[in-house]
Amino acid sequence: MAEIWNTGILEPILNVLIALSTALGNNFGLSIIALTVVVRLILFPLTVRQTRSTKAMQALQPKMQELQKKYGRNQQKLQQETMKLYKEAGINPLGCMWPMLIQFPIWIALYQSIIRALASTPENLLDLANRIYAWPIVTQALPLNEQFLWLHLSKPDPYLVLAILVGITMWVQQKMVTAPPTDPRQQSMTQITTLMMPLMFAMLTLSFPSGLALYWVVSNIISIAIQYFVSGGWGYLQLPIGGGGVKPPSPKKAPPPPSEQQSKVLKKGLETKKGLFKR
Amino acid sequence: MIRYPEQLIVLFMKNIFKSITTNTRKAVSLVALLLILSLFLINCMSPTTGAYGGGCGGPAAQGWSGPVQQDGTVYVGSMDGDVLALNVSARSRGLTFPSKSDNEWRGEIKSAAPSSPCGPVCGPSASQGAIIYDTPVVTEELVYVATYSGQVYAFTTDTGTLRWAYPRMSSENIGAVVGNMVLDSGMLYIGSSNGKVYALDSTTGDFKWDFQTDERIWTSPAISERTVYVGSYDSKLYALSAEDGSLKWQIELPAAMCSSPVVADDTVYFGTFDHYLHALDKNDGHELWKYRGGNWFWAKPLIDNGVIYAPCLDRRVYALNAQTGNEVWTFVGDSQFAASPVTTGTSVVVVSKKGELYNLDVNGGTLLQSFSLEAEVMAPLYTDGTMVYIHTRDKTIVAFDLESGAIAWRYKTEAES
Repeated sequence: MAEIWNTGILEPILNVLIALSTALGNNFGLSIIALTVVVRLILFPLTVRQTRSTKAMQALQPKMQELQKKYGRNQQKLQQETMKLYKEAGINPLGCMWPMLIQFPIWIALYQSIIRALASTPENLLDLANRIYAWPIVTQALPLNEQFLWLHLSKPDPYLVLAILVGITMWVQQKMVTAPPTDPRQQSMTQITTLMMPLMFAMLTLSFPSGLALYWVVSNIISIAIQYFVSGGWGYLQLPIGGGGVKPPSPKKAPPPPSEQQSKVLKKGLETKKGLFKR
Repeated sequence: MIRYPEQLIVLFMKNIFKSITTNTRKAVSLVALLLILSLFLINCMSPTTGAYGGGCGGPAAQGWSGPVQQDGTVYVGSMDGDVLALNVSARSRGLTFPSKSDNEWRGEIKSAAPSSPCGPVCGPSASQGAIIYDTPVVTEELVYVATYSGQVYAFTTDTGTLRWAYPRMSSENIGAVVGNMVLDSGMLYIGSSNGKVYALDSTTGDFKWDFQTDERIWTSPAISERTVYVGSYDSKLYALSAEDGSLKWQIELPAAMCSSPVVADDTVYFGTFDHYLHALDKNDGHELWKYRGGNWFWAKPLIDNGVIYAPCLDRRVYALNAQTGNEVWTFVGDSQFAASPVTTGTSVVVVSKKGELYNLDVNGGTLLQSFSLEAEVMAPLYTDGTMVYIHTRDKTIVAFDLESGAIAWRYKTEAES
């Protein structure tokens, strides 16, 4: 099974990454950026599908909370009512996860390819001999030129710039999609969660190869761009800090309050019963 | 406890799921997590990645120091960062190590707290103790060893007492040393990951000179007639004066050097990442011949009686005419050959990465004997003519008797706690 993963997914991406480096003038930094963009473009339809599904699921959240309050003690009834709600809205709950599941192995392979290609230890370099194709464009690139801007791609960024960029882009990305809870008691918890992951990744960037951090930054920026254009704005990022349940300042750019979103989705689901969220 | 970035991604996604939905959260998250975890488990448990604690980022740095035998004692850098002196007689009698009466010792490299060049992705072992790729250099009085954390040590051969260390301050380093040091005319020559070639006085450890190249040096230098030949990952071969480090000449290679060079007569031989074995004139670097293998010529080739024996990562050992590059014979093994071979004069001994030892007749490459060591081997081999010493990846020094075709003794290098 491991060989299926290596031969079928990891090695093709790894070799393309190295070949791109040669094609881009032995610049592995540009190669990481280029391949991240290409992979995200290929996965774009899936990402859009997922973003829209996620948005629709978020729109149902207040209704779901109501159901939980109403049938919290009767799990069977709660499940029935939940499924009924999905049916009425024309949403398949697993529909928003499948695009994500398909994208996951490719993200992981890209991430692994970057680490493998950098071959930052002698064992890694020796292991690379098993993974690369005998294409001249690949063999000539090795060992890869690690210099990119001020970075030494197999070593952490000494100037903290990437750590800050990883933290900020991840925070923005999360903030755009995380709906503020209607319950004020949950607000502080949500704020902490939204801050925790970017902070952790920023801290990790301090000890990870900067090539990997570069991939995170580029990937996050693309996610933000997709989110911006697909959702039509900055989403929940425009809400003031601690402003859970407050209407976004610009209705043109930001998504409408959850209740409005819900009615739109419900309406769409009931009227058409077909299209993207058809069951 | 989070040890690998993959775990964080899972945690991150879990967090995202949480924020997306409430009632479907459990079912959907479970499906997603199961899929992701199974993918990681499949990949990370594979022998090529997980076996040495490297996680999903590939194998961890553990070192592959080769053994050297002198006056009945085998010296080696262990995979736990110690330098060991193993008395052949004491080991064959199975005495408790260290047998003081046999001048056995374990030299701990206390100051080596390696600053891993790649952070946690190298795996847990990268941050534990010293890592040694360098095969010790042994004189009558001292044993020299360089570490991946960039320190060079000189221990006395009889007691293992530290004579000197370079740099003098334990907090300083000269960059990770991956290739072997070379001793010539009282000077130690070292290639470093910081791209420099260093020359130190072997008696005192005093700095003599250095020379900066444009990339990492992960191969060993070679010395001939007071000229240091060294290949850098900047795809150049440098010929330096052994006296003062001044550049005699340099040439651009079609690809970076992947094997350590070896000099014989007037020729420098080495492998490059484009699958070629090159033979260059040692006086000006012009190419005499080149030979293409099926993968990298990673191990340092061996030259004996006008024949070059070059193990390759394409599972073959090539015997070529050193003058012309014409193929004399080839031998196909069970897996890649990463360890440098040895010769007894009548036969060549090679060990595959999977640990299969082959004793090949120099005339025609006929297989004389084979033996499974049942552990991976990447470290250079050493022979005194009858015994072959091998450092296997399961942290064992194996003494293989060529006459009996069996293991004479083996010793686990891990220190008893």
